[in-house]
Amino acid sequence: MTKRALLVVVAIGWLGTARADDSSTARHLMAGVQAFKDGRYEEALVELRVVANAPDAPPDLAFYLGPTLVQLGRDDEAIDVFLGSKASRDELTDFYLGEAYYHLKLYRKARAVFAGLRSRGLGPVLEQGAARYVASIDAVYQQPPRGETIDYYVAQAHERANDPILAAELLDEARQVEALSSDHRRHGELVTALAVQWNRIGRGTDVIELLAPERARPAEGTWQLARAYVAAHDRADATPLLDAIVKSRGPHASEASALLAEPSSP
Amino acid sequence: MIALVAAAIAELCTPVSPSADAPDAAAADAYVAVGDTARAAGDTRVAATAYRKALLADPANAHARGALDALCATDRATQDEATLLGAIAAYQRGDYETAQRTLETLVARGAALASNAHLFLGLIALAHHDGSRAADELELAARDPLYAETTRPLLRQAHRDGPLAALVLVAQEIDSNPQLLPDTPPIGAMTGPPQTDGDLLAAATVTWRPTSWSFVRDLLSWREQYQLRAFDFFGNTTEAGVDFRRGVDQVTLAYTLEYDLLAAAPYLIGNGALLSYRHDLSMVSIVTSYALRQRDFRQAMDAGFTGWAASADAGVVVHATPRVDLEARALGLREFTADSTFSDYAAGVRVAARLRLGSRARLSALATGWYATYDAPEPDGTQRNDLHGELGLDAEYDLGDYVLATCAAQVIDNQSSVLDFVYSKLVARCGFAVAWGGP
Repeated sequence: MTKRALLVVVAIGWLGTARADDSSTARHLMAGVQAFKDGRYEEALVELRVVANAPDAPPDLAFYLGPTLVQLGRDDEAIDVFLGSKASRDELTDFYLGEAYYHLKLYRKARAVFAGLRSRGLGPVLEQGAARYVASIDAVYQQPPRGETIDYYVAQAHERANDPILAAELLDEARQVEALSSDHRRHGELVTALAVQWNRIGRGTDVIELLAPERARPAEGTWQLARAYVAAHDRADATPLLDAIVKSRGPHASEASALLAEPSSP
Repeated sequence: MIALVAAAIAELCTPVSPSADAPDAAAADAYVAVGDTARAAGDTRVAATAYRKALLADPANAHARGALDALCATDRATQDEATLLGAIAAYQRGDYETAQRTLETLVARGAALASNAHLFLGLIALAHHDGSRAADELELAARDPLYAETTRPLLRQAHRDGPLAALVLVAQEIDSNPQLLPDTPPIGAMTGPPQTDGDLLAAATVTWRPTSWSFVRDLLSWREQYQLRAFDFFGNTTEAGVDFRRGVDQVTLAYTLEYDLLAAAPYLIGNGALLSYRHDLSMVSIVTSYALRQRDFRQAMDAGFTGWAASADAGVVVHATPRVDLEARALGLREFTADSTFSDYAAGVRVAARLRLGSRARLSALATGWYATYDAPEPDGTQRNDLHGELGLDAEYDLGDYVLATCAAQVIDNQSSVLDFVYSKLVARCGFAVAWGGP
């Protein structure tokens, strides 16, 4: 079964319930799926954006909107849609996410998605596609990556600063590429920059996972980790970090002091 | 890429087919909202798609109609602008064929930039010496007030150019040294002091271009002295050549045959070949040429000058402003003459400035200087070395499409280690010319 056919099946599954009330949102979603099926991706995008504007938009709209954006070559927007969605992604959506990563040269991110999909089990068409992507990415990284590759992703992240989700993905790619290299001098800088972006987009849990195991954190990394603990209402772990920041009289001392003074959440 | 995007948008700008369904104003509003957001984000294609869908849902939706029309108009203008810029770039790199094809497409489309296209089509026609086509195109361009001033001098040029072009000049001339005949030192310098005289100059040039890259030209001139009738001079120069242009490179190869009479008696028969090359860059043109002439003086007094002359030059023309061209060339000359005391090597420079003053007047100034050293000493053993300078000014004023007034002045000064060859000459003339090109 092709990706497109799978998408249609998924959409029709949702439409089975949507059609019952024959709402205009359901009609637009159906029109969007039909346009996608016919390869009229711009029309599909318009219909799905009408759905997105509706108060009764389905929570898993990203399943349709993201693939449409990928088909239109608007991979950066697709990543924003996929990662910004609260709904759990299914295999097909993940496949499109992997493709969007791949098109944007986020190869480590793409590989992780495709490898994860293969381990979960896919149909024969998607399995072959995922295997091809993994093989082609592994071919790229047969040799340890060079510093210029990391520079490329960091520069791209700076250029996309107004798109924090994509900027974070680029920095995460840089971090993963750096992990493959033989020179780890930039590790602290990269994880800190990634933590800054993740905190900006509310991914405090990921910041904690990223920085808590770090033994030698830069001062900025400690501040980002403390912020993530505070956001997670984990005062026990946040307080010693904030105390240390205040004592160090570093650039975030006054902000740390203010956070310490805040009453604990119930 | 631009062409692909433009094509996709052009497709979205075709009339919206009316739907058989009943109008759905709510759906139209929903599409308009998506279109407005996309338009604000610069997402033209999605915006146009949304507005089309709005019009399909409700053909009476004025907002969608207005927004789609505006998008399509902007897109057409953007596409036309990109197409025009591409054509201009092709014109500048000398690819006239591509430029012409693209410009003709713009004109056929009725683009808002058609007047720009007509202007460049006129320039291309001028480059091909197709005066008739050039005039047609330039007149169309001139309808745009923006180009009225620019096209005026070009239009006159178009009226004077064509497969067949002719110019007739009649001028009153005053010459401080008419004894100084072409290609020889002044007889007067050796026979007595120069004597100023006036003359009536009549000249005509006829050029025939069988193809855009070949030409045959004949230049006739008749100078009738008022007092020194022994120096009445008739000159005829016939030239045939080819003119190859490929991109920014231009090569001209020409053969010339001269036949001159002095006081109705044969004076000079000359044969020559010219090879010149020009390479145009954006602000500068590199120019170089080589000429070889064989001169046969028919009168016994001048027989010593019979022989060969080879000259070469190389330099640059700087297009300093749209109205000013500056030129500088290094010159080299070798003359072999029957009398070896007239054989010489010369090296020098030539600088020129050409100015376009308004739409009717042109002024050019030319200064040339060289140093020459002669092969054989004079009979008294003196080694002849000359320092030669020439300064010329030439002004033209267009009185109409076919008529122009012209004034020119030239000063020549030659200093020499041999007193007989120290001379000077001042010539000034004013006259009228009629120029025509066609058919």
